[in-house]
Amino acid sequence: MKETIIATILFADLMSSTEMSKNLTLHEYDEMIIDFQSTMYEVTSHHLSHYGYQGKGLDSCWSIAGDELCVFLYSGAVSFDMRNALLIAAKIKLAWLVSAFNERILKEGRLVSRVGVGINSGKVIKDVRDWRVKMGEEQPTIEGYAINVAKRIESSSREGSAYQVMIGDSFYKRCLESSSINASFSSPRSLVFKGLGQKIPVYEVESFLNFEIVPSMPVSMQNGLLDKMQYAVTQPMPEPWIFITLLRHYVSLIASGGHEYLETHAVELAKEALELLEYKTIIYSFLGWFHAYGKSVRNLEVALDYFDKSLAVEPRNEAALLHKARIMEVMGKTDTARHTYEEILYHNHDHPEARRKLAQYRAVQ
Amino acid sequence: MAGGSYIDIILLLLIVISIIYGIMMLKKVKIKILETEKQIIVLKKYLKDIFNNLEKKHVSLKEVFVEKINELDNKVNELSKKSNTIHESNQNLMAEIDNKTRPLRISISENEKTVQRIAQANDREIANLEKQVNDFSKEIQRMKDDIRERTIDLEL
Repeated sequence: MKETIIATILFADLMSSTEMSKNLTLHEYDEMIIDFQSTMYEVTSHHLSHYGYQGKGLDSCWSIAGDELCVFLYSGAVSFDMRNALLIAAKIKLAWLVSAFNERILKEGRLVSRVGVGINSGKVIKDVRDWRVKMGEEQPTIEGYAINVAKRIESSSREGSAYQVMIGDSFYKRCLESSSINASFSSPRSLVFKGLGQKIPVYEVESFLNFEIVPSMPVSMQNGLLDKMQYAVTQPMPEPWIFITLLRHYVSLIASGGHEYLETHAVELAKEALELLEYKTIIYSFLGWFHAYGKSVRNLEVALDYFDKSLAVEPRNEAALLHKARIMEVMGKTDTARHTYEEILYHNHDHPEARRKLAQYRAVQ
Repeated sequence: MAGGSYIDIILLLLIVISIIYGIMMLKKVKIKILETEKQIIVLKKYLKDIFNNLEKKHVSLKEVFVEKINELDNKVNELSKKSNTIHESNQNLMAEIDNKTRPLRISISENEKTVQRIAQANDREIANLEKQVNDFSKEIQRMKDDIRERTIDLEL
């Protein structure tokens, strides 16, 4: 039965594969494609199964052809699909970074091969096509303009400088509305795509924070994953997203306890990232977090300084305001803490912690 | 003669004196014997009184003793009767219990293997439940960790 649904569409392909096909022999190129395809297969199939997608066209479908992966998600929960699309993007980039092909390149000190990603969401038609049934494929598929846009968006990923994960305008707006996705995006770039005839705003993911990226990687890829990531950031021109993913994983390890020894290394890595990355707000947040909640590197004055730096770039950054308020409270600067909680509530009337704290202050008076 | 006379006279005097002393001593002894006889008579009388008293007491004690023995005997008889009644009642009760529990005992005996099987099945079920509780506990811990991590995600 034909129906209109909202789908999240992801395209990923191997960057500069055409150039590589010219320089590599047919067998070498084929070996690279085999490695790419098996890596994409392993990550995508594991991820969709792990997050409860039924597949078979019911709530998702995906395919790999040549150096391209496409994933369509339409579970009915748009925010869930969007979050999963970002997770798949981060995971396929991580999986390809630590693949056998790139491991060889890394050891030779050359620049690794990268994966570019384009994501969009929008209305599509879900239907079972007659010709597919005749081919023995009775599962529904989706068609629509949003798919074409996603494909074009993906082609612009090589112009990115952070994640090289590009998103469309509708995806961007829905992300801003979702409270469960912590992602930052670049300013929009208006691009004219072949065949679409009009300028389309495209955004690049500058940071995507999700604790599940590393732990939810396929089991076969878990062994030595952290070491490979740590090695990758020591190599020339490391990709910015590796720092963010690695630092977020360090936060998880430190927060779970028993990883105090990582704290100094995490601070050093964050400082290194601060010099290399254009988008510094998230790194200020990491440094503030390590100094506020770490044990061996705990220093509230330093933590406050980093959260202030973050707020200087983004004055409405709710997370930085929240940490600042907490630190002020611990330091006994009640008036500043109260003022900061009021500022949080001004932008977010339903913020539970700010509401609770201000109610406590009122009760004391 | 004169020499002999003096000695005879002295000896006679000595004899007379010793006889007189003997007579005096005999008299004293007689007096003592009379006093002793009187004392004996007094003592006999006292003894007789004592024996009389003892006799009276003995009779009294004997009467009390007989009375107590009789009472005790009655009580023993009474207790014996009661004991017999209780014993009889117990015998009846045991017989009744025996009658009533016989089918049950037969059933228990017959179903011993079934009971063992059930016990083993219960053990397995308990082990299964224990595993489920452990899994559930781990799941709760995972959920707690997830909540903590999601909160951190949104607070960075």
